[in-house]
Amino acid sequence: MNNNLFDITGKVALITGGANGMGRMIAEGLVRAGARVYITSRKPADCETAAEELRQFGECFAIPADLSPAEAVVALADTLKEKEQRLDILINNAGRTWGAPLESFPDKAWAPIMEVNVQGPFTLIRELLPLLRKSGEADRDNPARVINIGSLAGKMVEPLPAYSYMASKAAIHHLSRVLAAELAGDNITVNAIVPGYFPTKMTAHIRQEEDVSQEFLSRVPLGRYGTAEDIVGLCIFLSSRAGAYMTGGEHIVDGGMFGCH
Amino acid sequence: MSDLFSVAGRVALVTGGTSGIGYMIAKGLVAHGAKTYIVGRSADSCGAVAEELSSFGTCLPLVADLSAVDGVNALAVALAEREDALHILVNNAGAMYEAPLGAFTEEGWDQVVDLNLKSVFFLTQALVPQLRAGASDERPAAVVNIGSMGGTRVGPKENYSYQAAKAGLHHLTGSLGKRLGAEHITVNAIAPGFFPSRLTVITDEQMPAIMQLVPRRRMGRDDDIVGAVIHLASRAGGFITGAVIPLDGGMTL
Repeated sequence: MNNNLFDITGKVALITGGANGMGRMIAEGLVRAGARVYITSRKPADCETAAEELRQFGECFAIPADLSPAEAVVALADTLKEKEQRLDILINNAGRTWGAPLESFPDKAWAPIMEVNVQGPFTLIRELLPLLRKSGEADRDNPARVINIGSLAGKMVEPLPAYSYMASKAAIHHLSRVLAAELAGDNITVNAIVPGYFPTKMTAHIRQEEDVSQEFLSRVPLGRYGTAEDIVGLCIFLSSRAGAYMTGGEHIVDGGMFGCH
Repeated sequence: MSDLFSVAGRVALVTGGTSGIGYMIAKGLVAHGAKTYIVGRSADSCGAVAEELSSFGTCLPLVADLSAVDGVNALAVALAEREDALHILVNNAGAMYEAPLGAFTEEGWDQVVDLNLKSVFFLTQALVPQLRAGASDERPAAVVNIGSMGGTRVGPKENYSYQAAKAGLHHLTGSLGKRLGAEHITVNAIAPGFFPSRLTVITDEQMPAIMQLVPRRRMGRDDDIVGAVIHLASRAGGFITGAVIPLDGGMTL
Protein backbone atom coordinates (compact mmCIF):
# COMPACT_ATOMS: atom_id res chain seq x y z
CA MET A 1 0.00 0.00 0.00
CA ASN A 2 3.02 2.20 0.22
CA ASN A 3 4.26 3.93 -2.89
CA ASN A 4 1.74 3.23 -5.56
CA LEU A 5 -1.59 4.04 -3.93
CA PHE A 6 -1.94 7.08 -6.20
CA ASP A 7 -0.16 5.60 -9.22
CA ILE A 8 -1.80 5.97 -12.64
CA THR A 9 1.24 5.18 -14.79
CA GLY A 10 0.33 3.58 -18.11
CA LYS A 11 -3.40 4.20 -17.78
CA VAL A 12 -5.18 5.33 -20.94
CA ALA A 13 -7.19 8.52 -20.45
CA LEU A 14 -9.49 10.66 -22.59
CA ILE A 15 -10.16 14.25 -21.53
CA THR A 16 -12.71 16.27 -23.48
CA GLY A 17 -11.98 19.95 -23.74
CA GLY A 18 -8.40 19.15 -22.76
CA ALA A 19 -6.72 21.94 -24.71
CA ASN A 20 -7.83 24.85 -22.55
CA GLY A 21 -8.80 25.90 -19.05
CA MET A 22 -9.47 23.26 -16.46
CA GLY A 23 -9.25 20.44 -18.99
CA ARG A 24 -5.75 21.56 -19.87
CA MET A 25 -4.76 21.57 -16.17
CA ILE A 26 -6.10 18.03 -15.78
CA ALA A 27 -4.43 16.86 -18.98
CA GLU A 28 -1.03 18.16 -17.92
CA GLY A 29 -1.40 16.58 -14.48
CA LEU A 30 -2.30 13.18 -15.90
CA VAL A 31 0.44 13.30 -18.55
CA ARG A 32 3.01 14.19 -15.89
CA ALA A 33 1.73 11.36 -13.73
CA GLY A 34 2.52 8.92 -16.52
CA ALA A 35 -0.87 8.31 -18.11
CA ARG A 36 -1.34 8.09 -21.86
CA VAL A 37 -3.67 10.99 -22.50
CA TYR A 38 -5.95 11.86 -25.42
CA ILE A 39 -7.35 15.38 -25.45
CA THR A 40 -10.20 16.71 -27.53
CA SER A 41 -10.96 20.25 -28.54
CA ARG A 42 -13.30 21.86 -31.03
CA LYS A 43 -10.52 23.73 -32.81
CA PRO A 44 -8.09 21.34 -34.55
CA ALA A 45 -5.15 23.76 -34.41
CA ASP A 46 -5.58 24.42 -30.67
CA CYS A 47 -5.90 20.73 -30.00
CA GLU A 48 -2.73 19.79 -31.90
CA THR A 49 -0.74 22.64 -30.35
CA ALA A 50 -1.81 21.70 -26.82
CA ALA A 51 -0.99 18.03 -27.36
CA GLU A 52 2.40 18.94 -28.73
CA GLU A 53 3.15 21.18 -25.74
CA LEU A 54 2.04 18.49 -23.31
CA ARG A 55 4.21 15.88 -25.01
CA GLN A 56 7.25 17.43 -23.30
CA PHE A 57 5.92 15.82 -20.11
CA GLY A 58 4.94 12.43 -21.54
CA GLU A 59 2.38 10.86 -23.86
CA CYS A 60 -0.37 13.09 -25.22
CA PHE A 61 -2.39 12.94 -28.44
CA ALA A 62 -4.92 15.25 -30.02
CA ILE A 63 -8.36 14.23 -31.27
CA PRO A 64 -10.06 17.34 -32.65
CA ALA A 65 -13.78 16.88 -32.00
CA ASP A 66 -16.92 18.74 -31.04
CA LEU A 67 -19.41 17.37 -28.48
CA SER A 68 -22.43 18.32 -30.53
CA PRO A 69 -24.20 17.07 -32.51
CA ALA A 70 -24.42 13.47 -31.28
CA GLU A 71 -22.93 12.23 -34.58
CA ALA A 72 -19.72 14.10 -33.76
CA VAL A 73 -19.52 12.36 -30.38
CA VAL A 74 -19.96 8.98 -32.04
CA ALA A 75 -17.21 9.88 -34.49
CA LEU A 76 -14.93 10.84 -31.59
CA ALA A 77 -15.55 7.50 -29.90
CA ASP A 78 -14.87 5.68 -33.17
CA THR A 79 -11.56 7.50 -33.56
CA LEU A 80 -10.48 6.42 -30.10
CA LYS A 81 -11.59 2.84 -30.76
CA GLU A 82 -9.23 2.76 -33.75
CA LYS A 83 -6.33 3.70 -31.51
CA GLU A 84 -6.99 1.88 -28.22
CA GLN A 85 -8.39 -1.45 -27.07
CA ARG A 86 -9.38 -0.16 -23.65
CA LEU A 87 -10.07 3.11 -21.86
CA ASP A 88 -9.14 3.38 -18.18
CA ILE A 89 -10.11 6.98 -17.44
CA LEU A 90 -12.76 9.09 -19.20
CA ILE A 91 -12.97 12.70 -18.05
CA ASN A 92 -15.98 14.56 -19.42
CA ASN A 93 -14.75 18.09 -18.97
CA ALA A 94 -15.79 20.01 -22.08
CA GLY A 95 -18.48 22.53 -21.28
CA ARG A 96 -20.27 25.60 -22.58
CA THR A 97 -21.98 28.42 -20.82
CA TRP A 98 -24.30 31.25 -21.82
CA GLY A 99 -25.00 34.38 -19.83
CA ALA A 100 -27.92 36.74 -20.27
CA PRO A 101 -30.41 38.50 -17.98
CA LEU A 102 -33.48 36.47 -17.10
CA GLU A 103 -35.84 38.73 -19.04
CA SER A 104 -33.88 38.36 -22.25
CA PHE A 105 -32.42 34.88 -21.77
CA PRO A 106 -33.02 33.39 -25.21
CA ASP A 107 -34.48 29.98 -26.00
CA LYS A 108 -31.52 29.31 -28.24
CA ALA A 109 -29.32 29.32 -25.10
CA TRP A 110 -30.75 25.99 -23.98
CA ALA A 111 -30.24 23.29 -26.58
CA PRO A 112 -26.54 23.88 -27.30
CA ILE A 113 -25.67 24.06 -23.60
CA MET A 114 -27.57 20.89 -22.71
CA GLU A 115 -26.07 19.18 -25.75
CA VAL A 116 -22.46 19.86 -24.81
CA ASN A 117 -22.78 19.65 -21.01
CA VAL A 118 -25.17 16.70 -20.58
CA GLN A 119 -26.02 14.86 -23.77
CA GLY A 120 -22.44 14.85 -25.04
CA PRO A 121 -21.02 13.16 -21.93
CA PHE A 122 -23.90 10.66 -21.98
CA THR A 123 -23.38 9.75 -25.62
CA LEU A 124 -19.62 9.50 -25.15
CA ILE A 125 -19.99 7.16 -22.18
CA ARG A 126 -22.51 5.04 -24.11
CA GLU A 127 -20.27 4.79 -27.17
CA LEU A 128 -17.14 4.06 -25.14
CA LEU A 129 -18.74 1.37 -22.95
CA PRO A 130 -16.92 -1.45 -24.79
CA LEU A 131 -13.54 0.16 -24.07
CA LEU A 132 -14.46 1.00 -20.46
CA ARG A 133 -15.78 -2.52 -19.84
CA LYS A 134 -12.59 -3.94 -21.29
CA SER A 135 -10.61 -1.91 -18.76
CA GLY A 136 -12.94 -2.86 -15.91
CA GLU A 137 -12.92 -6.59 -16.57
CA ALA A 138 -9.15 -6.84 -16.43
CA ASP A 139 -8.92 -6.40 -12.66
CA ARG A 140 -11.79 -6.29 -10.18
CA ASP A 141 -9.65 -4.16 -7.83
CA ASN A 142 -8.87 -1.61 -10.51
CA PRO A 143 -12.13 -0.35 -12.01
CA ALA A 144 -12.43 1.84 -15.09
CA ARG A 145 -13.22 5.43 -14.09
CA VAL A 146 -15.58 7.99 -15.51
CA ILE A 147 -15.23 11.48 -14.06
CA ASN A 148 -17.78 14.10 -15.02
CA ILE A 149 -16.82 17.70 -14.38
CA GLY A 150 -19.87 19.45 -12.95
CA SER A 151 -19.96 22.82 -11.25
CA LEU A 152 -20.68 24.46 -7.93
CA ALA A 153 -23.29 26.45 -9.89
CA GLY A 154 -25.17 23.16 -10.30
CA LYS A 155 -25.06 22.49 -6.57
CA MET A 156 -25.87 25.80 -4.92
CA VAL A 157 -27.49 29.01 -6.05
CA GLU A 158 -24.78 31.27 -7.39
CA PRO A 159 -25.44 34.85 -8.58
CA LEU A 160 -24.85 34.14 -12.26
CA PRO A 161 -27.30 34.76 -15.11
CA ALA A 162 -26.38 31.38 -16.63
CA TYR A 163 -29.67 29.54 -16.30
CA SER A 164 -29.19 26.74 -18.81
CA TYR A 165 -25.61 26.18 -17.62
CA MET A 166 -26.62 25.82 -13.97
CA ALA A 167 -29.45 23.43 -14.83
CA SER A 168 -27.14 21.42 -17.09
CA LYS A 169 -24.58 21.01 -14.30
CA ALA A 170 -27.21 19.84 -11.80
CA ALA A 171 -28.25 17.37 -14.50
CA ILE A 172 -24.74 15.98 -14.99
CA HIS A 173 -24.33 15.52 -11.22
CA HIS A 174 -27.48 13.43 -11.09
CA LEU A 175 -26.66 11.56 -14.28
CA SER A 176 -23.35 10.59 -12.67
CA ARG A 177 -25.17 8.97 -9.77
CA VAL A 178 -27.58 7.17 -12.08
CA LEU A 179 -24.74 5.79 -14.21
CA ALA A 180 -22.68 4.91 -11.13
CA ALA A 181 -25.43 2.60 -9.95
CA GLU A 182 -25.92 1.13 -13.41
CA LEU A 183 -22.26 0.58 -14.30
CA ALA A 184 -20.98 -0.73 -10.94
CA GLY A 185 -21.61 -4.27 -12.17
CA ASP A 186 -19.23 -3.64 -15.07
CA ASN A 187 -16.51 -2.54 -12.66
CA ILE A 188 -16.76 1.05 -13.84
CA THR A 189 -16.95 3.85 -11.27
CA VAL A 190 -18.67 7.13 -12.12
CA ASN A 191 -18.01 10.22 -10.04
CA ALA A 192 -18.75 13.90 -10.47
CA ILE A 193 -16.30 16.61 -9.55
CA VAL A 194 -17.93 19.84 -8.46
CA PRO A 195 -15.39 22.64 -8.84
CA GLY A 196 -15.81 26.04 -7.34
CA TYR A 197 -14.02 29.01 -8.86
CA PHE A 198 -10.83 28.23 -10.75
CA PRO A 199 -8.76 30.61 -12.90
CA THR A 200 -10.38 29.83 -16.26
CA LYS A 201 -12.09 31.88 -18.93
CA MET A 202 -15.44 31.30 -17.20
CA THR A 203 -14.31 33.25 -14.10
CA ALA A 204 -12.31 35.97 -15.90
CA HIS A 205 -15.04 38.56 -15.35
CA ILE A 206 -14.64 38.16 -11.57
CA ARG A 207 -10.88 37.94 -11.43
CA GLN A 208 -10.02 40.87 -13.68
CA GLU A 209 -11.29 43.59 -11.35
CA GLU A 210 -9.50 43.73 -8.01
CA ASP A 211 -12.42 44.92 -5.88
CA VAL A 212 -14.85 42.46 -7.48
CA SER A 213 -12.33 39.69 -6.94
CA GLN A 214 -11.74 40.60 -3.28
CA GLU A 215 -15.45 40.76 -2.60
CA PHE A 216 -15.88 37.35 -4.18
CA LEU A 217 -12.99 35.80 -2.26
CA SER A 218 -14.54 36.94 1.02
CA ARG A 219 -17.19 34.27 0.29
CA VAL A 220 -14.59 31.49 0.06
CA PRO A 221 -13.62 30.10 3.48
CA LEU A 222 -10.12 29.23 2.23
CA GLY A 223 -9.88 32.70 0.65
CA ARG A 224 -8.47 31.81 -2.74
CA TYR A 225 -9.22 30.44 -6.20
CA GLY A 226 -8.56 26.82 -7.08
CA THR A 227 -5.26 25.81 -8.66
CA ALA A 228 -4.15 23.17 -11.12
CA GLU A 229 -2.90 21.04 -8.23
CA ASP A 230 -6.31 21.14 -6.56
CA ILE A 231 -8.15 19.72 -9.56
CA VAL A 232 -5.34 17.38 -10.61
CA GLY A 233 -5.03 15.97 -7.10
CA LEU A 234 -8.71 15.07 -7.04
CA CYS A 235 -8.64 13.57 -10.55
CA ILE A 236 -5.60 11.42 -9.79
CA PHE A 237 -7.09 10.32 -6.46
CA LEU A 238 -10.31 9.21 -8.17
CA SER A 239 -8.36 7.50 -10.98
CA SER A 240 -5.94 5.57 -8.80
CA ARG A 241 -6.19 2.59 -6.47
CA ALA A 242 -6.81 5.06 -3.64
CA GLY A 243 -10.17 6.00 -5.15
CA ALA A 244 -11.31 2.55 -6.30
CA TYR A 245 -14.12 2.23 -3.73
CA MET A 246 -15.72 5.57 -4.52
CA THR A 247 -18.58 5.69 -6.96
CA GLY A 248 -21.55 8.00 -7.38
CA GLY A 249 -19.82 10.73 -5.38
CA GLU A 250 -20.12 14.46 -5.88
CA HIS A 251 -16.63 15.59 -5.03
CA ILE A 252 -16.76 19.24 -4.17
CA VAL A 253 -13.51 21.17 -4.53
CA ASP A 254 -14.42 24.77 -3.84
CA GLY A 255 -12.49 26.13 -0.87
CA GLY A 256 -15.46 25.44 1.38
CA MET A 257 -18.17 27.51 -0.34
CA PHE A 258 -20.70 24.68 -0.34
CA GLY A 259 -19.89 22.70 2.81
CA CYS A 260 -19.44 25.76 5.02
CA HIS A 261 -22.54 27.51 3.67
CA MET B 1 3.76 18.16 -8.38
CA SER B 2 5.64 14.94 -7.63
CA ASP B 3 5.01 15.23 -3.89
CA LEU B 4 1.35 16.17 -4.34
CA PHE B 5 0.18 13.32 -2.10
CA SER B 6 3.06 13.41 0.35
CA VAL B 7 2.50 13.35 4.10
CA ALA B 8 6.12 12.56 4.87
CA GLY B 9 7.40 14.38 7.94
CA ARG B 10 3.93 15.59 8.93
CA VAL B 11 2.76 15.13 12.51
CA ALA B 12 -0.53 13.25 12.82
CA LEU B 13 -2.85 12.27 15.65
CA VAL B 14 -5.39 9.48 15.18
CA THR B 15 -7.94 8.87 17.92
CA GLY B 16 -9.15 5.31 18.26
CA GLY B 17 -6.04 4.29 16.34
CA THR B 18 -5.62 0.85 17.85
CA SER B 19 -8.34 -1.02 15.97
CA GLY B 20 -10.70 -0.98 13.00
CA ILE B 21 -10.67 1.97 10.64
CA GLY B 22 -8.47 4.00 12.99
CA TYR B 23 -5.83 1.30 12.89
CA MET B 24 -5.93 1.24 9.08
CA ILE B 25 -5.54 5.02 8.96
CA ALA B 26 -2.70 5.03 11.49
CA LYS B 27 -0.86 2.28 9.66
CA GLY B 28 -1.24 4.10 6.33
CA LEU B 29 -0.03 7.42 7.71
CA VAL B 30 2.95 5.77 9.39
CA ALA B 31 3.83 3.85 6.21
CA HIS B 32 3.63 7.07 4.19
CA GLY B 33 6.10 8.79 6.47
CA ALA B 34 3.96 10.78 8.91
CA LYS B 35 5.00 10.87 12.57
CA THR B 36 1.81 9.40 13.93
CA TYR B 37 0.41 9.46 17.45
CA ILE B 38 -2.28 6.89 18.11
CA VAL B 39 -4.75 7.35 20.91
CA GLY B 40 -6.41 4.51 22.77
CA ARG B 41 -7.98 3.92 26.17
CA SER B 42 -5.90 0.89 27.11
CA ALA B 43 -2.21 1.46 27.76
CA ASP B 44 -1.46 -2.16 26.88
CA SER B 45 -3.11 -2.26 23.47
CA CYS B 46 -2.10 1.28 22.59
CA GLY B 47 1.53 0.51 23.38
CA ALA B 48 1.44 -2.80 21.55
CA VAL B 49 -0.08 -1.32 18.39
CA ALA B 50 2.35 1.61 18.41
CA GLU B 51 5.24 -0.82 18.71
CA GLU B 52 3.89 -2.94 15.87
CA LEU B 53 3.39 0.06 13.58
CA SER B 54 6.83 1.41 14.44
CA SER B 55 8.25 -1.22 12.11
CA PHE B 56 6.83 0.85 9.21
CA GLY B 57 7.93 4.27 10.48
CA THR B 58 7.32 6.49 13.48
CA CYS B 59 4.33 5.66 15.66
CA LEU B 60 3.84 6.74 19.26
CA PRO B 61 1.13 5.85 21.77
CA LEU B 62 -0.92 8.34 23.77
CA VAL B 63 -3.28 6.86 26.29
CA ALA B 64 -6.49 8.78 26.85
CA ASP B 65 -10.16 8.25 27.58
CA LEU B 66 -12.09 10.59 25.31
CA SER B 67 -15.51 9.80 26.74
CA ALA B 68 -15.35 12.91 28.94
CA VAL B 69 -13.91 16.38 28.33
CA ASP B 70 -11.34 15.94 31.12
CA GLY B 71 -9.75 13.12 29.16
CA VAL B 72 -9.93 15.15 25.95
CA ASN B 73 -8.11 18.05 27.56
CA ALA B 74 -5.51 15.74 29.09
CA LEU B 75 -4.79 14.34 25.64
CA ALA B 76 -4.37 17.84 24.19
CA VAL B 77 -1.93 18.71 26.98
CA ALA B 78 0.02 15.49 26.41
CA LEU B 79 0.34 16.25 22.70
CA ALA B 80 1.30 19.88 23.33
CA GLU B 81 4.12 18.69 25.62
CA ARG B 82 5.53 16.65 22.73
CA GLU B 83 4.78 18.73 19.62
CA ASP B 84 4.53 22.43 18.80
CA ALA B 85 2.75 21.76 15.54
CA LEU B 86 0.11 19.28 14.45
CA HIS B 87 -0.58 18.86 10.73
CA ILE B 88 -3.17 16.08 10.61
CA LEU B 89 -5.89 15.42 13.20
CA VAL B 90 -8.04 12.36 12.52
CA ASN B 91 -11.07 12.28 14.80
CA ASN B 92 -11.91 8.62 14.45
CA ALA B 93 -12.75 7.28 17.92
CA GLY B 94 -16.38 6.30 18.12
CA ALA B 95 -18.91 4.14 19.88
CA MET B 96 -22.22 2.59 18.92
CA TYR B 97 -25.28 1.67 20.92
CA GLU B 98 -28.35 -0.09 19.60
CA ALA B 99 -31.66 -0.76 21.30
CA PRO B 100 -35.37 -0.77 20.41
CA LEU B 101 -36.98 2.65 20.64
CA GLY B 102 -38.93 1.83 23.79
CA ALA B 103 -35.86 0.49 25.59
CA PHE B 104 -33.29 3.03 24.40
CA THR B 105 -31.51 4.35 27.49
CA GLU B 106 -30.20 7.77 28.40
CA GLU B 107 -26.81 6.19 28.98
CA GLY B 108 -26.87 4.70 25.48
CA TRP B 109 -27.62 8.14 24.16
CA ASP B 110 -25.00 10.02 26.19
CA GLN B 111 -22.05 7.68 25.75
CA VAL B 112 -22.39 7.73 21.97
CA VAL B 113 -23.05 11.44 21.58
CA ASP B 114 -20.30 12.30 24.07
CA LEU B 115 -17.63 10.30 22.27
CA ASN B 116 -18.73 10.64 18.65
CA LEU B 117 -19.65 14.32 18.69
CA LYS B 118 -18.83 16.22 21.86
CA SER B 119 -15.27 14.95 22.24
CA VAL B 120 -14.50 15.72 18.59
CA PHE B 121 -15.51 19.33 19.10
CA PHE B 122 -13.53 19.78 22.30
CA LEU B 123 -10.44 17.96 21.06
CA THR B 124 -10.37 20.09 17.91
CA GLN B 125 -10.91 23.21 20.00
CA ALA B 126 -8.08 22.27 22.34
CA LEU B 127 -5.68 21.51 19.48
CA VAL B 128 -6.31 24.66 17.43
CA PRO B 129 -3.03 26.27 18.61
CA GLN B 130 -1.03 23.26 17.39
CA LEU B 131 -3.00 23.03 14.14
CA ARG B 132 -2.48 26.74 13.56
CA ALA B 133 1.26 26.27 14.10
CA GLY B 134 1.22 23.46 11.53
CA ALA B 135 -0.77 25.35 8.90
CA SER B 136 0.42 27.54 6.06
CA ASP B 137 -1.09 29.05 2.94
CA GLU B 138 0.72 26.49 0.76
CA ARG B 139 0.09 23.50 3.02
CA PRO B 140 -3.00 23.69 5.20
CA ALA B 141 -3.32 21.61 8.34
CA ALA B 142 -6.10 19.05 8.00
CA VAL B 143 -8.79 17.88 10.40
CA VAL B 144 -10.44 14.70 9.14
CA ASN B 145 -13.58 13.59 10.95
CA ILE B 146 -14.67 10.00 10.48
CA GLY B 147 -18.42 10.21 10.06
CA SER B 148 -20.65 7.45 8.77
CA MET B 149 -23.20 6.63 6.10
CA GLY B 150 -25.42 6.26 9.17
CA GLY B 151 -25.25 10.05 9.36
CA THR B 152 -26.45 10.57 5.79
CA ARG B 153 -28.98 7.74 5.37
CA VAL B 154 -31.44 6.02 7.70
CA GLY B 155 -30.25 2.43 7.90
CA PRO B 156 -32.02 -0.64 9.25
CA LYS B 157 -30.57 -0.42 12.76
CA GLU B 158 -32.15 1.21 15.81
CA ASN B 159 -28.99 3.09 16.68
CA TYR B 160 -30.64 6.45 17.18
CA SER B 161 -27.88 8.22 19.05
CA TYR B 162 -25.23 6.96 16.62
CA GLN B 163 -27.05 8.23 13.54
CA ALA B 164 -27.83 11.57 15.17
CA ALA B 165 -24.26 11.99 16.42
CA LYS B 166 -22.77 11.18 13.01
CA ALA B 167 -25.16 13.56 11.24
CA GLY B 168 -24.18 16.16 13.83
CA LEU B 169 -20.53 15.46 13.19
CA HIS B 170 -21.02 15.97 9.45
CA HIS B 171 -22.64 19.33 10.07
CA LEU B 172 -20.07 20.32 12.67
CA THR B 173 -17.47 19.72 9.96
CA GLY B 174 -18.87 22.62 7.94
CA SER B 175 -19.19 24.86 11.00
CA LEU B 176 -15.55 24.32 11.97
CA GLY B 177 -14.39 24.52 8.35
CA LYS B 178 -15.95 27.95 8.03
CA ARG B 179 -14.31 29.26 11.18
CA LEU B 180 -10.87 27.72 10.53
CA GLY B 181 -10.55 28.36 6.78
CA ALA B 182 -8.90 31.74 7.22
CA GLU B 183 -6.27 30.05 9.41
CA HIS B 184 -5.46 27.55 6.63
CA ILE B 185 -6.95 24.63 8.52
CA THR B 186 -9.26 22.42 6.46
CA VAL B 187 -11.99 20.37 8.13
CA ASN B 188 -13.62 17.50 6.25
CA ALA B 189 -15.62 14.39 7.03
CA ILE B 190 -15.36 10.98 5.46
CA ALA B 191 -18.56 8.94 5.65
CA PRO B 192 -17.56 5.27 5.42
CA GLY B 193 -19.96 2.50 4.52
CA PHE B 194 -19.19 -1.08 5.53
CA PHE B 195 -15.65 -1.54 6.74
CA PRO B 196 -14.47 -4.40 8.95
CA SER B 197 -14.50 -3.02 12.51
CA ARG B 198 -15.97 -3.68 15.92
CA LEU B 199 -18.94 -1.53 14.95
CA THR B 200 -19.69 -3.59 11.86
CA VAL B 201 -20.40 -7.15 12.86
CA ILE B 202 -21.46 -9.18 9.83
CA THR B 203 -21.59 -12.96 9.94
CA ASP B 204 -20.40 -15.12 7.06
CA GLU B 205 -24.00 -16.14 6.44
CA GLN B 206 -25.14 -12.50 6.22
CA MET B 207 -22.27 -11.37 4.02
CA PRO B 208 -23.57 -12.33 0.53
CA ALA B 209 -26.92 -10.60 1.07
CA ILE B 210 -25.28 -7.51 2.52
CA MET B 211 -22.80 -7.27 -0.33
CA GLN B 212 -25.78 -7.14 -2.71
CA LEU B 213 -26.49 -3.72 -1.15
CA VAL B 214 -23.05 -2.44 -2.11
CA PRO B 215 -22.68 -1.59 -5.82
CA ARG B 216 -18.90 -2.19 -5.60
CA ARG B 217 -19.71 -5.64 -4.15
CA ARG B 218 -17.15 -5.62 -1.38
CA MET B 219 -16.45 -4.07 2.02
CA GLY B 220 -14.14 -1.12 2.34
CA ARG B 221 -10.50 -1.83 3.13
CA ASP B 222 -7.27 -0.15 4.15
CA ASP B 223 -6.33 1.30 0.74
CA ASP B 224 -9.74 2.96 0.49
CA ILE B 225 -9.70 4.79 3.81
CA VAL B 226 -5.97 5.51 3.71
CA GLY B 227 -6.29 6.91 0.20
CA ALA B 228 -9.17 9.18 1.20
CA VAL B 229 -7.39 10.44 4.33
CA ILE B 230 -4.08 11.05 2.56
CA HIS B 231 -5.82 12.87 -0.27
CA LEU B 232 -7.35 15.27 2.25
CA ALA B 233 -4.23 15.54 4.40
CA SER B 234 -1.77 16.18 1.57
CA ARG B 235 -1.36 19.21 -0.65
CA ALA B 236 -3.66 17.49 -3.18
CA GLY B 237 -6.65 18.12 -0.91
CA GLY B 238 -5.74 21.67 0.10
CA PHE B 239 -8.78 23.34 -1.54
CA ILE B 240 -11.34 20.99 0.00
CA THR B 241 -13.01 21.99 3.25
CA GLY B 242 -16.41 21.49 4.82
CA ALA B 243 -16.98 18.43 2.62
CA VAL B 244 -18.71 15.22 3.67
CA ILE B 245 -17.24 12.52 1.46
CA PRO B 246 -19.06 9.20 1.11
CA LEU B 247 -16.71 6.19 1.06
CA ASP B 248 -19.20 3.41 0.72
CA GLY B 249 -18.79 1.66 -2.62
CA GLY B 250 -21.88 3.46 -3.87
CA MET B 251 -24.12 2.11 -1.12
CA THR B 252 -25.88 5.41 -0.43
CA LEU B 253 -26.85 5.95 -4.06
